[in-house]
Amino acid sequence: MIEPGQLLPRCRQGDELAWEVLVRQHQGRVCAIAYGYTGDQDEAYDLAQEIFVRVYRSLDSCEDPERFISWLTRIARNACVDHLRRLKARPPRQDIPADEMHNLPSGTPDPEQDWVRNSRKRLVLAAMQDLSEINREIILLKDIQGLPLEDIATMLDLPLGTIKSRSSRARVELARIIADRGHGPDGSLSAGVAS
Amino acid sequence: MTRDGRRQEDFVQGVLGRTTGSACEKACAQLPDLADGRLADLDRQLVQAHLEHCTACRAVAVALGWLDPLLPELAELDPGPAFTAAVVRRTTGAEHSLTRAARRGETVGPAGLMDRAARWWRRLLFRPRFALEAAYVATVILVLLASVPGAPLRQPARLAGEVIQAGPMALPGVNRVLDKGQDLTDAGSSAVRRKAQTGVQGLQQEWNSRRERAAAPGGDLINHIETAWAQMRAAEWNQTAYQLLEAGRDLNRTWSLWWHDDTQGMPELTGETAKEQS
Repeated sequence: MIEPGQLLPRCRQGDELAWEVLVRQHQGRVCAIAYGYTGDQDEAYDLAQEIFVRVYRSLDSCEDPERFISWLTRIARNACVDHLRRLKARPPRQDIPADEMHNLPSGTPDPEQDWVRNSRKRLVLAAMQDLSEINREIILLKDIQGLPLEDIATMLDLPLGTIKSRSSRARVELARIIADRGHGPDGSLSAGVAS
Repeated sequence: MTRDGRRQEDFVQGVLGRTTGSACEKACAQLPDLADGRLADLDRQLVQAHLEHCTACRAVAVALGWLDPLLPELAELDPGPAFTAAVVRRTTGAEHSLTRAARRGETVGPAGLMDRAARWWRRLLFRPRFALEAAYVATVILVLLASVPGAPLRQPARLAGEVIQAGPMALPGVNRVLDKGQDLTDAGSSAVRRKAQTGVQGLQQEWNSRRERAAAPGGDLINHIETAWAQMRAAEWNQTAYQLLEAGRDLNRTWSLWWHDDTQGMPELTGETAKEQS
């Protein structure tokens, strides 16, 4: 993987190859962020394209390549918030169809484990749409994207302590929604949820 | 759960309901710390004791247990192979070539600004909606030219309004034609033919006279419109605006010269004199 510190100067000079590599390296992350906000795969892909257009136009404003991920996430988050504001509504509260999200990355070679894991991922993604907005953002930025708490506090314009305390509560809220949606106490998934 | 066990649980819940309330909230609040191993020994035992008896909190705890390793796996979503190509096309392709060119330092300063304006104009021009938008803009310009005080086309519009209000009798030449028609009914057939011929000739002379005196500014008008169109296609905006202004003046002169019978007060303007005046 080529470091952003090497790619950014080339991208700023208009090097299409460097830009293509940068897009390839980070498109998965940007799509996941867009999906986390919109809850709709097609909408997320369209929005992710818009985010990359914004990134391309703002390349000069990334002063510290070491913090490229935070910078990229901030642009993605702002674009998503703008998008939702334009829609004048919260993301649609809908379950994800079983045949959607077929592009979830697989981590295990065992088909059965793979199926259970993907079912859980679908369950989590669907449950996230039922979270409050602030809790969804914290789960998305901290637990999924793994951003530092300081960056999240700056991004959301909230005190660091609030982010810390909210983080635990957000995870519990998510786990509670998952339990309510069909997760048995023994860890199994009900057929209705996993479909 | 056995019958005795259920009875005991109901008893405990009854006591809690009448004293401190349910312990589930506090237990759930401590679940993340329990999962992370950050609870003190006593607190850990208390929470675990609660989980042994509360199926709802146990389900939350189990979900939390597998959420922690699962969430980072959701950090990426594969959008498919076409996505990269679409992004590259949208950013480094024609649509954003201006940004790329600017980054390369090919066109900077006023020259670059003119280049970008020209490219913007070309993109604007080759769109299906351009004709509709152009018609709309032309209508607005025409209305402004004919209605704003001091506008070059205000005089013809006012005269047209007067004619509409006064009726067709106000048109020069109409009375003469009607008089000749009256003569036709009054006179005999040979005299009628002669007078008819005279009347037609009079109309022709009138028409030719008007056309001749308006020919010079009319020619200038066509020239200015053609030049303006050519300058517009070449993205020479200053020249385009100048030529359109001149065309407006020519139109005003053409109309005035064609309309008025008395040309003594109207100077005979040619293209050269018009330029001198402007």
